[in-house]
Amino acid sequence: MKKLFQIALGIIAAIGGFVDIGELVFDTQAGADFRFQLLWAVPVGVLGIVVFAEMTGRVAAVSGRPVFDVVRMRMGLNVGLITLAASLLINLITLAAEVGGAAIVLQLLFDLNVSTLILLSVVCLVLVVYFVPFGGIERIFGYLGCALLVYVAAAVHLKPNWHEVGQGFVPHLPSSALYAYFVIGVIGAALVPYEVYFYSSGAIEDRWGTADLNLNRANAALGFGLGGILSIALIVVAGEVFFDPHIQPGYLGTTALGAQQAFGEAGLVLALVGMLFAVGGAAVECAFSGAYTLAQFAGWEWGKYRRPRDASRFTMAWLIFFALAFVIVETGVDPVLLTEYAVILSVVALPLTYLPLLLIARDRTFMGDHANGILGNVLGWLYFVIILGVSLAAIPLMLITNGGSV
Amino acid sequence: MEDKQMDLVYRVLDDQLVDIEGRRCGRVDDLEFDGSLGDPPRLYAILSGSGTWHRRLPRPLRKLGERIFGTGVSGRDVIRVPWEQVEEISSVIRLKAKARDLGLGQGDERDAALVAKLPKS
Amino acid sequence: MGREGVRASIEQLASISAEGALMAGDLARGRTKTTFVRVHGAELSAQAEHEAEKLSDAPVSAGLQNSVQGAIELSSDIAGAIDDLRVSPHDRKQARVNEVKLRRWAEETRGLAEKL
Repeated sequence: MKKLFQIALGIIAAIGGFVDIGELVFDTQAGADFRFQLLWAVPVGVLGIVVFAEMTGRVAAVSGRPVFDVVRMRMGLNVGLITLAASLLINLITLAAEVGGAAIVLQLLFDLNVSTLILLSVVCLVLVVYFVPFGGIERIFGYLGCALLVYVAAAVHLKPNWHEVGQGFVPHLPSSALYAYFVIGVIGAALVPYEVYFYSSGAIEDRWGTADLNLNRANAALGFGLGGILSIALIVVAGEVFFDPHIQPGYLGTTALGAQQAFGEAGLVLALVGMLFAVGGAAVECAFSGAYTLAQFAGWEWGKYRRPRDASRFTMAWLIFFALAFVIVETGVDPVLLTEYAVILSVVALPLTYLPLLLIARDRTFMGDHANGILGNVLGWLYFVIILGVSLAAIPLMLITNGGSV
Repeated sequence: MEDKQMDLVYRVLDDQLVDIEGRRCGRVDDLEFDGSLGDPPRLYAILSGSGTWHRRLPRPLRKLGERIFGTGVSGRDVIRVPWEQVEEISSVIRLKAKARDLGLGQGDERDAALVAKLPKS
Repeated sequence: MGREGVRASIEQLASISAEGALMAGDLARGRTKTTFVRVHGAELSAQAEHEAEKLSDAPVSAGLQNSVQGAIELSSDIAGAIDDLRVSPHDRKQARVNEVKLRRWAEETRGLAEKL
């Protein structure tokens, strides 16, 4: 019973932790531009991250290897270095976007100077990460991020045409470059690699073993899977509120306005609080992921379960990540724009981390009886093809559509 | 593959080194063999440290690699761990001695002095 | 600035006006938070001014002059109405008037874009 309760709490935290600034930006724009027509891309992205996360969790539990251990081992030094450089860059851009997002949400709540709020956000995040234990961090941000469930309530309250919503889940071929760009954006926003690096390293931090494989399956499928409901709700709300008046959302404030339209001030406040903890939690995951990535690649000691001085380079790494993100955001760059670059670039680099993980997850030398079964292999390779296609199309579509603005 | 044979690239190269106290202390960045021509080569040592990386890069990038990752100064950016120090090869390469005694994990020790100044470190 | 660029800029103005109308409506009904109106209103009105600057600075062909001029005039009305909201977030009556105006300007601006 206690175990079940723990699983339930973990799943609630995962739901709240699923959404980050990528979804808040891309899903809202997708709903505003195409109403419900892009809904089908959400389950495609969500199933992708479930497959990826389940494999990384299983590899971590069975072989004790986190993602970048596997990347280095399977891809060797050269491809490994390219993957490392790409991942660090993407992590940093994403972290800057999340920190900037947190500052904007705080500004919408308190109307203070944005520069001060950026500093405040970074300082608070650093203090939480430094002093709160791993499980506590997941729970604080995960539970409070659940305030975003207001979008699920709003999606129902706004009484959309459910038949049309249902039709949105039937995949159809892109009718324009802009539509194709948003398909990639919605899939990419769900399939963010830093969440997977964090998940796999977290499994090792929590000392998972083969006894935890069911927990891994439940967390990956239900946590990430149910998190997808928030994405769907964001698209439905944006489709109902912004599509008809031809509003092109370019601010986090616009996303919040959707919840306000449904429930007034209470909706607005819940949305902003949810966003604050969703992007704050994502910032923590990003900073950790950057440090995990670097430490695992180079073989340094790492982990939040170690005392900071016992994993000193890991500690320095995440502190430096926050400092760099702070500098980037203070230059005044638009976090929404950063988010778009981060999501598209992470889609481009995705095959580099996905492939080695898939190769080791199906390798009986390392995984024994826990290697991919038939379903795991079919889904694993199917998603490799999807990820490769999305990765190759991302940059050309970004250029053709001028980053979704035509 | 027979039991006594081992694919070094598959099982050892690029793997994690862990010392006798369970500390992660670098990776197997290269392997060193000795022996004369005509004799069977003998695996002599593990090389760990970014100073080995430039040798593994494509030729046109080696100069740049030296500048970024070091030229391979023994004891500084490359540590030589005698093969006899390997206790076990599992999901990691487990060593028989402490990292400090083998010269590994110097970077962590250097930064530890800095991190130790932080509260509750 | 080519036809597509002008059109994108004018569509953006229509979007800002429509969003301003939604905000004004919520303000008129007491369904929002003052800080939100101030901050998000400032973002929207600054962007309206930015689009107007883009339109007035860019050299456009003679055929586009009328549309561009119309859009620039509307943009200052739109930015002004949104500024009213953020400067006086407690004035519900004015918000109601501005809601109607912003909605109308959104349609007019969109009409300009569609003609291109």
